[in-house]
Amino acid sequence: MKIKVKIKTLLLISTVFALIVVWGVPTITMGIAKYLDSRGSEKASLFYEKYANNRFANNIEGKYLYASSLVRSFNKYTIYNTGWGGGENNSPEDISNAKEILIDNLKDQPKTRTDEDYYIKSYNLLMEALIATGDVGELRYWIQFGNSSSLEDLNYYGDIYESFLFYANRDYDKAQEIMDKYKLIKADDYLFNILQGEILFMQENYDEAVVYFEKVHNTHYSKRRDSAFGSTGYINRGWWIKDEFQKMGYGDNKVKGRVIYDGEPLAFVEIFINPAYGGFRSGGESYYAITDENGEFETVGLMDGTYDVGIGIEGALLTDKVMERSSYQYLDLSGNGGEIYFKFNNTMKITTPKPGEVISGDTFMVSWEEVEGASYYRVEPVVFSQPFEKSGSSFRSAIADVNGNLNIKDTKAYFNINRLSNLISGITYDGEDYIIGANAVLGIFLPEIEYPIVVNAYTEEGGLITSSLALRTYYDQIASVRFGGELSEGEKLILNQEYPQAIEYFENMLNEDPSNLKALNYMAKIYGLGWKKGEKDLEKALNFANRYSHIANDSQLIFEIARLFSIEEIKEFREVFKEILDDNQDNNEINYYYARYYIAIEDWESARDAFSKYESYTPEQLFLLNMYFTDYDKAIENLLSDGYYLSRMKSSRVIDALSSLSDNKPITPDLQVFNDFLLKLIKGSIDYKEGYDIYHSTTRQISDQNLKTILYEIYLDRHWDTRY
Amino acid sequence: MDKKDILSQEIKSIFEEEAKGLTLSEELLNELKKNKKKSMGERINEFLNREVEIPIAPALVGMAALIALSVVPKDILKNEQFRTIYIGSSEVIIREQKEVTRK
Repeated sequence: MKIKVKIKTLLLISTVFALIVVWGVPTITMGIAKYLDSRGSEKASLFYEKYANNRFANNIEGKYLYASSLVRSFNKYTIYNTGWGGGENNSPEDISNAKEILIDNLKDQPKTRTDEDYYIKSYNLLMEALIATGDVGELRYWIQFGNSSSLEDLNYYGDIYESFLFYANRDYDKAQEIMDKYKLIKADDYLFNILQGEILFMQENYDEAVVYFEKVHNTHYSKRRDSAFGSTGYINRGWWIKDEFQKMGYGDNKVKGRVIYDGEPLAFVEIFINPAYGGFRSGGESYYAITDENGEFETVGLMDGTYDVGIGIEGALLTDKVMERSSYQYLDLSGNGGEIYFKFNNTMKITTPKPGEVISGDTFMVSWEEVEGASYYRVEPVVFSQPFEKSGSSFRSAIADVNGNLNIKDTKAYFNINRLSNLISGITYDGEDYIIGANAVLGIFLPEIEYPIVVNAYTEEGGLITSSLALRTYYDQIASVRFGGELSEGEKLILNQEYPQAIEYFENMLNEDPSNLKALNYMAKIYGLGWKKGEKDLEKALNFANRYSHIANDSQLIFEIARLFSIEEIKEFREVFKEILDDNQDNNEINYYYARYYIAIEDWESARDAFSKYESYTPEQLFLLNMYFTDYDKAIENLLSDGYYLSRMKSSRVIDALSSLSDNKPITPDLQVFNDFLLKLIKGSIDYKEGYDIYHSTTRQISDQNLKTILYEIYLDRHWDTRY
Repeated sequence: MDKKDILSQEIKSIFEEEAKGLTLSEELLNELKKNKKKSMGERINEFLNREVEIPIAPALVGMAALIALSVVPKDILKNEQFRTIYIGSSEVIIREQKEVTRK
């Protein structure tokens, strides 16, 4: 269809259309961007970019909005020994892009008032990004830039960030000197109040600091910033100082330390401290120090106690980095302060397999590059509770190579999937009926499922040096294996936790073929673990495992089932249990199982003897048994050994108490009560809920101070002081 | 003595007298107009008033496409989805790129 139009009408339409393109397009683009932004869509950034590149749009505004859409917030990712977590993180690429755009925005002086607003906003966002990423050199340059600007507001912000740098470097006098210039004219400014509060807090002037943080808290939301000084923890800091901080602050113990990556300092990292009660608090407001430009820090004074020290760091900085971890978890403070170091290293590289590598056959190889200073390596496949979706909970534990070694000295190792399929790990239960998680029954390395592979490098003392798995990484960069073949119907039933049908399926299978190893394996695990509350049948489990062991000539499965026995269950099936141990003397873990057997039949001397021969690590029961036999020197040896896992127990206090006990034997009634308590622990018969009452009733009956000290440390170690 | 030439005045009077009541035909007038040299304004006006035929559908589609191209970013159809999972203390980002195609 055609219409006749006069040329003058056509010209009029064209003019209107041109106006739409010049004015309307940027407006529509911005409108769409803001709408998508309000819906949290990542596409908003594309529209902001389009707006920024439109020659008819306000360029400074566009570029600022584009940059700010790339870096949404500077939440810190918190890493404690006992936990970790963080909010929405930025990618390093987005932060780098945003910095470039903002620097480009600051090249030309603004011409209009609107431009000036976005120019200053660009400056502030750039400074936030530089602090968040610890870029001290660039920060200094841009502080100078702000100070020498012809814009008064930029002079102020240049000064504020300079004061921040002095504060981070713990030069509080110089920081305060700058703040004093603005205390009358900028008394309501959000950044001013935050920084003033921080300077006062770090000088332990808490009451005055709270005044400023309350001003921050009461600032109208429209004037608050998403982040200030590269962090988001300020809004509730006043509340935290008045509440949580009271329980730990106001002491003499200053914690010093350093945060480095590959030998270089990491600046402006926040230092968090929690009481060592097992949980961790990741609210951004509770930091005690930040690192200076040399990566060093010093906290305010803390009370005596045992603490979990963590760090808060921009998530993007964790990309391709691994944090070294020593085997000891907590920091003891008792009047003299303490020191703690956080060291990040580069990831190590797995050379084989590549991401998504398909494996055929029963054996596969994992190889990796050598790590300097590494004494041994461990290979850990990752198993997801929902493996096809790669979602739900995940767990990983070291697997033994074909020679049965968990700690591998070489830079490559071979693994047999048939042996690994016998392992029982990642035990989880779902719902009120305690339905067993499928992974515990199925084991690892099933067909059709992809398993990421992680290799860790350790020092001789068991401290983690580095890992192939970075603290922040992309899945497609992780080595992984996938095995050929298909899941059987029975395996699919287990995967869907349809256990009654799975049992029927495998029973039918065994009727047809009584030597079917897979069926025997799964049936042993289904009954050994108890597929549902009340469905555990150890006799059946042992029967299936025994049949499996005889046919496969491999005792591994039977020991996996034996590991599931509680002390009470070993007692109930003691004859069968002993028979299994006597028949399989070649098992690496045999002494551990004998020790448990002797505990079950209350032969404490034999139990101690068996645990003493156990080499993998120092079991806690051995330490307890040595105390039971008043062999305090041996108990001290246990505590000092590398293989002993200390949780919250202050070994120095326990060692002092044990040394005193060697010289001053406790009176018999005290010893009797103490030993009764130890036996309950050895048998594992104290439920967590009963621990608090049992501890208090025991300690009331004892007068010996050394025994009381040991009891108290056990009480803390077991977390009986905490109500979850 | 006044020697003023009055001949031209006389001839003009004679012509006016003779042409009184004379009417030119429309055709002749049009012919005269046609042969008259046009001014710039007249020519522009004539151009502006010229009618052209425009196909509505292509014109509208063209205009809409031009606006759409100016507004919509070229990567809008790229559907890169990010999902974060945790493996121990590690934050692992799964990136799944799905191209939206017209069938």
